[in-house]
Amino acid sequence: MELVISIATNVILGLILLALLRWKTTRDEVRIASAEEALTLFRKHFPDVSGIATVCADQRAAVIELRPGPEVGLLQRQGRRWNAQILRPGDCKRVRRTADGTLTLDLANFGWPRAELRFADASTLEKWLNRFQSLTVRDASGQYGDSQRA
Amino acid sequence: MHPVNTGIPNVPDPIYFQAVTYVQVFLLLLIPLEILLASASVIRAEYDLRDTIANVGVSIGSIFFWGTLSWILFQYVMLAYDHRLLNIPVTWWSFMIAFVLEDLRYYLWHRIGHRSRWFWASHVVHHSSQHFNLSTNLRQSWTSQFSGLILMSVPLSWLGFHPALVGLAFSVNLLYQFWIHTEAIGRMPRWFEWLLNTPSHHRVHHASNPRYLDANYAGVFMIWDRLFGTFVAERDEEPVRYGLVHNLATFNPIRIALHEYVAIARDQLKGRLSLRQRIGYFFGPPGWSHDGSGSTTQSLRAAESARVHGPLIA
Repeated sequence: MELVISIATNVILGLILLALLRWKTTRDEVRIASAEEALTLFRKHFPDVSGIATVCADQRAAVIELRPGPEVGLLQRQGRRWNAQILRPGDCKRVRRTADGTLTLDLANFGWPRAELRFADASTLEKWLNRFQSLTVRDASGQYGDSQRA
Repeated sequence: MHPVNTGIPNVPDPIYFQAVTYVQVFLLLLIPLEILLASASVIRAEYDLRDTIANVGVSIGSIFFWGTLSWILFQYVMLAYDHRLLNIPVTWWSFMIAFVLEDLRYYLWHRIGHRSRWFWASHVVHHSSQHFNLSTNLRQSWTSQFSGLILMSVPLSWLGFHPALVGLAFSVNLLYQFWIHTEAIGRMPRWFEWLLNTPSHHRVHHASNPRYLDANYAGVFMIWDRLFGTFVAERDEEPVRYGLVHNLATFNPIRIALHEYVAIARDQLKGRLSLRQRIGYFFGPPGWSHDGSGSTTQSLRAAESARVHGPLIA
């Protein structure tokens, strides 16, 4: 009997939770306003980097050409938070371009398996398509990037 | 607490376990209450729909694996109790002693779970949310039965505490920890903060700021952290950033539960590693790497210190 009560309580709890969260969550979503803001957000995760940021058209992600080296910074919205990682050669498994102008990255990181990037224009998309394709090949050491403490 | 006629001599009254169940249900009801009060801006708490659904999803998996595999622990514990050193009766005072010792066991288990990657791979699940609210309690490991640390539950029964008594102490310990997963409570009275684990102390534990990493492992009594030098106080001038040093970008419960094991496997597949290096990737501190390129607590603190104070010149 206790088990039935417990399950029923949790089902009701779950329904209330979903309704409340739905009501609460739809009101505020984070967006990147500018390239400077993208760099500022990225440096919260990697304080010492410098580079040039490109904010995606939907303002939910940004890519950063890091200097020096072959790495690319990726900033992506995760709910109401921002996640960042540095992509090194081999960290991209596959890059795809869809008909609606979205670039889809399949990443080697099991905890960050995919990124979808929408760019403002075709030339920017083409540039980043080529850039990410260059990261689908591992470097000479055969190593992936830093995945520890993921 | 008194022995009852349950067929097994000298076990705690089942009413205590029923009480644990009811308290558990009550505590779960605090989650929608926290959401409601936060939505009305009465208290401070931040929820995200997908994050909370992920917490529930991970919880279902955790309950499944715990429920189906807890017999493994039961076998070890009963074997140990059959060969116990002492015959400790089930009384209120033996419960109090078991509770304190169980809390010490929890501290040690928790500390190992953060300092060695194999065990971290199991425990990281609980720290993988970038939010910190009562629903974070639901995000628990799927693999605690496999990691090996489960053996740390055996010594108390081997010493002579009845397994049911130890189980009760364990349950009460976990129930206590429910309320400390919140931003709604700032600080408790000073004596309370000194003696017991509180939301403030546990916010530090869930932080990814270098200053706060690997601190405040206590379950109930903060005294263990103070005693063993792992206590770090929350600072108002350094707000806590919740989550991991490198956060997950997924709400998929399977990825959340297993991501660090996959990372370990990938590191093992790196070429030209010595046996020592391979062991390092298994049991070294999280972030350890053979070439020093990873982010350990030590390296993160050193980098943070260099940023704040400037690099050290020999």
